[in-house]
Amino acid sequence: MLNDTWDFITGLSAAQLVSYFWPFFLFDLTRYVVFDVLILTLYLPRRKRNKQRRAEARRLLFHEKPLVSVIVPGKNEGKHIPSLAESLTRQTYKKLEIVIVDDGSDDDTEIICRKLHKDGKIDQYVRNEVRGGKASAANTALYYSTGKYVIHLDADSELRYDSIETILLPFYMDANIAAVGGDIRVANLNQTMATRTQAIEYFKGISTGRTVSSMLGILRIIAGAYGAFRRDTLDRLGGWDVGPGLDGDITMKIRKLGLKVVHEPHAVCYTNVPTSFRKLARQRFRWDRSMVRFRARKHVDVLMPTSNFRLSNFIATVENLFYNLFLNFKWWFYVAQVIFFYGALLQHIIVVNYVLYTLANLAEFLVAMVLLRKTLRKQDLLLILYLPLMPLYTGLYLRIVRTYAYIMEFIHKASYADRWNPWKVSRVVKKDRL
Amino acid sequence: MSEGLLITGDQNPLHLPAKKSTDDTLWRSLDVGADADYFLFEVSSESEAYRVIGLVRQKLLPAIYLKPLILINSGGDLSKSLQDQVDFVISSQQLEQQLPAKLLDEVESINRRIDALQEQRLKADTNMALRVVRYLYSRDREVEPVASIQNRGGYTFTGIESLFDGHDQSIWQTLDFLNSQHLVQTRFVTRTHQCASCGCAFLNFKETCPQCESEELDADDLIHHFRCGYTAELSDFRQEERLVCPKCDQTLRHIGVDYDKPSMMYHCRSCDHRFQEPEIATTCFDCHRTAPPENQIHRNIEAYKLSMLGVNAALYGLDSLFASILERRLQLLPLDVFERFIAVEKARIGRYKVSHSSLLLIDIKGLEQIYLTLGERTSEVYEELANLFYAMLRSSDLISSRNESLFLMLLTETSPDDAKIVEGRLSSGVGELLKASLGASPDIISQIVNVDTALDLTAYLESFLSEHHAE
Ligand SMILES: [Zn+2]
Ligand SMILES: [Zn+2]
Ligand SMILES: [Zn+2]
Repeated sequence: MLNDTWDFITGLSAAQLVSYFWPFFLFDLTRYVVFDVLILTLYLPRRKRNKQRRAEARRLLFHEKPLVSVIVPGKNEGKHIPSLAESLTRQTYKKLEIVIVDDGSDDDTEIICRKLHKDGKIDQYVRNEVRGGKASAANTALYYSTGKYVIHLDADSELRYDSIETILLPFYMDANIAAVGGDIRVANLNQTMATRTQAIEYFKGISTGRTVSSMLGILRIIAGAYGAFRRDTLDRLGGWDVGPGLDGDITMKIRKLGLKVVHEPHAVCYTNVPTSFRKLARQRFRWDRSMVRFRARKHVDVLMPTSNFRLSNFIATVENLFYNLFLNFKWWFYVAQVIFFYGALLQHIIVVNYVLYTLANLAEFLVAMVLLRKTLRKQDLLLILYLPLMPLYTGLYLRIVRTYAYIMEFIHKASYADRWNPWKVSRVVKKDRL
Repeated sequence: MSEGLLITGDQNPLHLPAKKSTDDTLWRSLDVGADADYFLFEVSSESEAYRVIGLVRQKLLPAIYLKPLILINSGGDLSKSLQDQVDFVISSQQLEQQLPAKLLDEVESINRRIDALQEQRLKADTNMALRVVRYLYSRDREVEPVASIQNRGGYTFTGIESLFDGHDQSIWQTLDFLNSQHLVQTRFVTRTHQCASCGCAFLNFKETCPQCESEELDADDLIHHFRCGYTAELSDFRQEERLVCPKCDQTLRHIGVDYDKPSMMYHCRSCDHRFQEPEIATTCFDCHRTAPPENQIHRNIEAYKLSMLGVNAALYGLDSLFASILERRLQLLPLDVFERFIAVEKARIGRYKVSHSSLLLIDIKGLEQIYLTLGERTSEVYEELANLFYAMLRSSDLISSRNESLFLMLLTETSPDDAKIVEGRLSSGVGELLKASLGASPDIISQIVNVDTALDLTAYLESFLSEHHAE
């Protein structure tokens, strides 16, 4: 059978190659090549050239020593807080203020945090008896924090020892930068097959993808799990808006102010990811719906030629809509095309696609390793063994989840009743058609 | 008419002198009234009334201090506290006619109870606890706590206040004592905080800063505007009479509909600390000492009513009923007398070295509690117990008690082996009797000691008690 496939490949003309495998050659290959080439030829040399500027930024940072607020809003996260507070004391940047907001927890969170507050392990603890949702909790934390920079952090994440210092440097290199995204890595990568595939996906999507978007000036999301903001900017915006997707939303609003948003691949934050494909599907369903809502509905104005029109915002949105929405539906079109027109060649086409995407993943993974080399751990490198799984993961599993989410969002506006927001909030937002 | 009027029940009026001081004439005149059914009096002021009530209630003879008191109200409102301290209040018009039959019935029932004290009603009672027990017995009622700013404990017991001569702590002490002896039953009414250093119930509770202890705090509600997610303190939303969101400029309309108040925040004016859980401090209005509430005294305020044991104490005195029955039946000796007999016996045995005597100790655990189970049947059971003791002992034997449950018997001319037989019969007899009455076997501990020159009774009793009454 493999011999047949080999004959099939060698017998292909260039035109046939494109017509059988157009999604790979027209879209994915371009994207991979563009990304990888940009990283290798532009970003890395530029970073090398900027070494001097980074050293200078570091000197400025430690000379000024601004107060940095680490805000951790959340519900029932008490169990993570002691180790989080402990790990923050080991940061190379020490002038930190830890503000925990407890959004109506119904477990031991209050007892744990009141004790930590009393013992001076955390600087402020605010408990909201009634749950208000993620945005409200983050805004409460913002209100009671006083630092010049505000770092939004998830309770169950862990920062590399130099991570806060690293995420602050861009602010001292460019006065127009108002927000810096941290690099999210998978903490529990060796736990299950699901966590390994996600770890690879994070290296590609977050580390490489956001570095490139950032370089092109079209970065559209600062992860809520780990992002740094200038307080003056957050104050101007009145903090976060009601989610879901509030991370992407605040990033977009900062861009609309004409300020820059960048990604810092060496500011590492380890986070725990869903351990089964089932739980992962639920998480992605939520994320994908909010993508549609905030890009396609709430921030559709960036596509209009109004007074605050900016090309980079336009591109950021178009790129996002294109890759996520269009490419997703194009993929189903491709599947239909192959089944109806090239049904006899089905098995060959599948095998070839599989090989092509595995090779592309390998190339991308290697580039990520070069980009992140300083901050990598040994177990990160071993992920290379699992790369052959990735075509199934990104090509099949994620596509199905995503398609389902988009359809649901367009048809039902399901995310208004998101379980991350209490009903009282969803109801008002839905009524106001935000 | 003189300022005070005191009339005995047989229409033989006794005049109280108008002078505030109490003189001999008055005290004597009151004793003359021992056989009266009630005292009737009229005064021109409440303070005078309290003085008269005090004069009566602080006399020593039960026949006087327990006497039903009837106050004639010649007009005007009487304080609740005064009404509580007398048995009846009648108007001057009522006095003109016949006293109401209902009142006379109640007077009679009080007097019947006083008569039950028999000859003791004409013996002086000096023990405060006994006076209270007898008063509660004669009135057959519960004494309730009454909130009062006159009393530093925050509460007083107006019903029995006049038995005491003004030191209000002694009311509490007496009631605590009665409770510890199971002479009263309590009913929970409320709870107070009292100053740990001076007992004063007037404490100022205040919120303080956990960081600097300052009392100068501001408190503000947190507001969450649903539609934009903005969350800040109420003062940030306030614009004249309205609440306006500083983020989205909308006017807030209805709490719960477009906004809510998820929590509250305190702000310390002196150190700028922000916190949600203030410390609580209490300062005593009297001695000015400040302490956290958990370091102050928390006291249950209760109403008191005589228990069956208390009724027994009212009738027979504070010593135990069983002891009083044994005393009658077996000539229970006071312990010091018993000790002297032991000393004589030790000397006799030491000198002649021919005879043996034994000391038998029997400890019936929880005997004083039997009252709570058996109520009025207790005295019957006690009589039977006394009979049992009587049957076991010879006329030459001596008996005494160390407390309400530990009895000591000197068995003369009895070897330890013979004493063992007595011990066995006595404890099985007591055990069976109590088991039949209570339905459960009592805990009985007995010991036999050979009486010789080496015996040190006091030391022996102490070690016995500390061994078996580990409290
Ligand atoms: Zn608002
Ligand atoms: Zn303070
Ligand atoms: Zn005091």
